[in-house]
Amino acid sequence: MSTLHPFDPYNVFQAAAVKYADRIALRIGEREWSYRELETQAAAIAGWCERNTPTRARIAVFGKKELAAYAGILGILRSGRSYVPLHPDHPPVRWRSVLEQSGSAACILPSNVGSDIAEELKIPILSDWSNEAHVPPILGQEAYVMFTSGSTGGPKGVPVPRNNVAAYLEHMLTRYSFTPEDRFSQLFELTFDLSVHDLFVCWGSGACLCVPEDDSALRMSAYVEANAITSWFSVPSLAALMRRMRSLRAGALPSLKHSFFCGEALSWDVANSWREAASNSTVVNLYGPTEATIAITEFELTSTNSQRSGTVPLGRAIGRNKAKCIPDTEPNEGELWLSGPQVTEGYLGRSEETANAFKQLPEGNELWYATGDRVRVDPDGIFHFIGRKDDQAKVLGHRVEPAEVDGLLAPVVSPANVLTLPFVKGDITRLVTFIDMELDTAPLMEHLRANLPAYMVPERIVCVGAFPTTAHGKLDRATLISMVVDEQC
Amino acid sequence: MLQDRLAPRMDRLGLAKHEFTNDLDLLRIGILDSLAFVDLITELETALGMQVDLEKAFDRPGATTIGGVIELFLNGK
Repeated sequence: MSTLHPFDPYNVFQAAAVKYADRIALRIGEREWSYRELETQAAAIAGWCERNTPTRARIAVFGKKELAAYAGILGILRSGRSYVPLHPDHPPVRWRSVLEQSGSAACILPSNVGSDIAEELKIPILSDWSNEAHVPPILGQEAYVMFTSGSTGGPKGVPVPRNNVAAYLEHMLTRYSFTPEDRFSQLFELTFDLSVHDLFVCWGSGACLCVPEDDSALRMSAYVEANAITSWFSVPSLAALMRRMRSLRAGALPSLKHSFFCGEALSWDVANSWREAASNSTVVNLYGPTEATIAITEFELTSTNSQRSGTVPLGRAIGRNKAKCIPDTEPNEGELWLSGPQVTEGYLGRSEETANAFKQLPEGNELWYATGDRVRVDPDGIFHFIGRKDDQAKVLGHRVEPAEVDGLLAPVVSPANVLTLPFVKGDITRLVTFIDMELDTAPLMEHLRANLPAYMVPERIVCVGAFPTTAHGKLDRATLISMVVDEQC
Repeated sequence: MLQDRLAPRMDRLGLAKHEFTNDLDLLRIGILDSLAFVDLITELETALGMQVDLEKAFDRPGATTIGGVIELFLNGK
């Protein structure tokens, strides 16, 4: 029989709602909701879930950064069910895939977006819960299912138990000195598991979650200042963009007390600029694949461990988690494996991929997740990121399997004739797709836009006469990249 | 100059030259995303030998239209 973990995500919100009922829990643009108001919404949504879906069902929540999405997530968790976030801007084919794979029993739809698919799949829709009877919190097992890019076509789902989230929250809420006076940024899309940090570390602290009204990445320092943000969390690319905009002047972000980065490699260049701008803030580099729940290693930057170039280390495993380097070419270099209370048990309906990535070591019966990330471990036990074992790329923190992009072009171009590659320009990773024949690329781009979230759509498709090769006859990726990296626009 | 810089992207999106008007919002219709928009501005800064206050500029309505970009550089000295 399952028991309630004290750091269970709904439990930490509920505890704050009791203690800080009249404090502001959520601020979207200029509108604000107290903990009491948010809990009332969650209790009504939970009531509907309890009456209309099976116990511990999965429920999809369509939503951008709007009250319904936040209340929906809380309501689903309060009902002991698991949420499956869907982004209204993602293509409908992706919604369908996620809804079908997750077996979502219902949908929370703040607007009509997605209603046709939900109706077609014959699942109940909740769009108005104002008259729903409330229910008290119900114990649940699974917190959410997040979908990431899959190399074998279509997104793949990672079910994440509530106790995994609780293990993360236990570490964050005891390691860092957050207070109810804090004001947290909420920049990650709700379809990205790093948003779980934003919501529940904030609410677990009784603090205020500040959501920018529009998604403009172009006014971030103004957003920090206007909302008196004290705890920042973003992908390093956003900090790199702010640096390019000359927004990271010394002392420019004085309100920040905590700054966290995760989702992709953090360069020392960007990190040092951030430390100068946010001179009152701790700066922490977090690392964690979705399979290991939000983030599982951390490295705090200090004046004594600062470097001038390269990337900031991943650090060490947090809480009771373990990280291990499985050596390959060198004794201290190899693939990073992870184990512990935050590591999940596999992918939804993909037994082969689960078996390939979730393994046991000969000397024990713990389950380890083989990340595919290559690392070096230094004499102090600190892990440093080297690269990937495979072609997986990180774009704005999102995992992208280039094969998923290439596969979508298969009806027109054979996989042997297409190659999607990441490239870095202005400290920010982007994608470009090369095709070794002359084609009208406009319809291909249209096709990719219709089937992929924006971050997976390559910046452009480039037709080349033939793929260049090295002196050894191998595909010359560097030459291909050089064709676009220096090009304007 | 702006038109020349954006021409390849407009071609790729199938946009005609007559659609290149001052009201055209480069972000809204997907000619550029925010990263590429900053790329464009910094390229124009280099080409014109001047710097603009980017964050302040983006607080103005219409900052990401063709007219907004032109105004940014006309008033940015």
